[in-house]
Amino acid sequence: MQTTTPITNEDFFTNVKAMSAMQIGEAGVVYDVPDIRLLSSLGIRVGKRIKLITRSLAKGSFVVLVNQQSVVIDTKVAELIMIKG
Amino acid sequence: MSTFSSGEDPKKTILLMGLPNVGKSAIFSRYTGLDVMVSNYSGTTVEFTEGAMQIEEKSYRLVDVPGVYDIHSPSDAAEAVALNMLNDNPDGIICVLDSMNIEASLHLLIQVLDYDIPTVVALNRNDLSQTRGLKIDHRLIRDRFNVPVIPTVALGGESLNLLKFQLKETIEKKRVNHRHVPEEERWAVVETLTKQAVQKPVDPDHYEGRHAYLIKPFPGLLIALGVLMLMFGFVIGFGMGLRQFLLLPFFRELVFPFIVSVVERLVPNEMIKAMLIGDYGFLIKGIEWPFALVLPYVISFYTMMSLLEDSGYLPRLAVLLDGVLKKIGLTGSSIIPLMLGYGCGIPAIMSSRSLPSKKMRLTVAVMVSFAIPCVSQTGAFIALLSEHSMLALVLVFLVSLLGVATVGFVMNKIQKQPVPFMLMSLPELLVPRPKILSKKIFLRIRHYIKDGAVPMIIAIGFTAVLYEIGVLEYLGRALSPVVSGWLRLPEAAATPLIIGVVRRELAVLPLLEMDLTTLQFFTGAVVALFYVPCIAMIATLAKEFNVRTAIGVLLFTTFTAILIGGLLARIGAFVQLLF
Repeated sequence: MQTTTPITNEDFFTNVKAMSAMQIGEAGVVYDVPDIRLLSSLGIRVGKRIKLITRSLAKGSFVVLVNQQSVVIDTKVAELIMIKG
Repeated sequence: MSTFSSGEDPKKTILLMGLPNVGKSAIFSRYTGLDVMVSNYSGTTVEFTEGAMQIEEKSYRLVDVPGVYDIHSPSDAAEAVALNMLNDNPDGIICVLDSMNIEASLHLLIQVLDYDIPTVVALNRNDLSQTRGLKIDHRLIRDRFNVPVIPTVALGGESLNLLKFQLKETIEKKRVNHRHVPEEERWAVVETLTKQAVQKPVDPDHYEGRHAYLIKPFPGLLIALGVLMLMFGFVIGFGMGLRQFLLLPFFRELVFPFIVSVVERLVPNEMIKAMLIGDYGFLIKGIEWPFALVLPYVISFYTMMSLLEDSGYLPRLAVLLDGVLKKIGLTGSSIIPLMLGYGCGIPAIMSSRSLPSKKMRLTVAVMVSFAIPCVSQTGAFIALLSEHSMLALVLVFLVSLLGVATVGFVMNKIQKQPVPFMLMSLPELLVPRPKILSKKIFLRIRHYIKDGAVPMIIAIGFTAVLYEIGVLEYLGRALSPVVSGWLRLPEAAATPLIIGVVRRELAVLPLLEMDLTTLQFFTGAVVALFYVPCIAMIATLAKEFNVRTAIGVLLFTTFTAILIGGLLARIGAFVQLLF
């Protein structure tokens, strides 16, 4: 985990949400990531700016833009990545 | 695993390392000229390739290590291979950085430098990153880690000679003095260095959604449908054209009359003559089937498939279909082995190695074995059905799709494990380089001739002998309750079932010579579709999974093929009665 500050209740109710809850076209900054090493290499690290480009049909994966690259994030993982709007 | 301890070989070993899709294979093929595939979808090089590299008068052993993101991430098979190779004390490393993905590249470089092996760095795809305004200063990377860095463009071959001589010099110096970075500071160091090294940073939103229309359900799925139909149209159209206008006339008007006249003159024995130029005449069918009938589709299919692979479109197709494929327990990336299956089942099963779980691998392998016709069989279907009924031809492919979906559904129900998750970076879309593309197509055609056409010719030779000495007729009578009684085909149609075990298209081609109704042709084609894949595929299944799986597939395909064939013969007859 690379959490820099603990997530407070206030954050949760104001502007932090899971990547899976983002709208297409919405941008935000990565706030917390699950412990999957590959995510760091794909650019999904705390403090990174991301934008949700699209989602695969029938509740499939999410595609986000980070570092000018398109990265495919599985639904199960997207539910665990917290984004601050 | 000791990959490098091949006793008598004193050659120094060089590892070529980097992220997936970074251009390692392009560098490898330029340095060695050896047969490797250059592709830009993840997972083609999970098996590593090695070759001899010449620097001045010295020869080195160059190993193309599977692309990795993180050497210390334990879960992935590719990364385990990379870790093993690093631990085997290679003599040198070429670490390829991707300018387009500089942060992850630098992170990998830091991990590689930990091993204190003489290393040179290739800063690759600097051409692409420059067009995007991301000019990277390689000197900063060099000074930060104390390692030689050369900017390169591997596909175009730029600066690769310089890289080679730098490598030689570095290896001969032996002493390395890399600067290491403690584990917990790595990403911070990478981010700081990236900020400094990128000379012309751009507005992060500027390139947003580049080609995003390809992965959005709309219009992405429509485009995908268009691409696949275009591919299908080209494979069939171009293949048919090659066959009708070039290869068939060539063989039928020039080659065969010559062969026939020579045999007529030289061979007095009637039976041997029939074996050579009769119904299953070895010298006629043994040339016509592999070269005039199947080869055109091998050429058209692999031209199209190689184009799709090298353009970077396949991972986008994987994203589009991810949600749908999840419904049958697969992820989007399974689409690549499935599509390869329409070429040949063996590379399809091999490439399923890159899939993240055993469940997915087995599902894909069984789908390919059951209901995906290989390109040889597709060619045979077209030859068999296109003249009688295009509708029947289209129906065969629809039955195939239905079969694939059913198998996927059943396999998902049998195996309870959860679907693994998909995480990947989409490679850039590229215009394929004609030189690399044509080499790739050539290698695949050569592979077909060696591993496809030769066994086919041998099988046709055996068939000719068995046919002329009457064994096939005898077996036909023995199998008559199944073939005539259940499948409603003539007794002679036992032949394709017998020789179809050897190769997929041989379960179809003998029907060409028979006088059948359209319904019978259709029944025969569907039986062939679901029938035993081929001996080589059964062997591959046994090797990649286990003997039980192989025998299971063998028995189950035979049983299903005959069951469905018989049912279709009856349903078809009923439908014909109605109209």
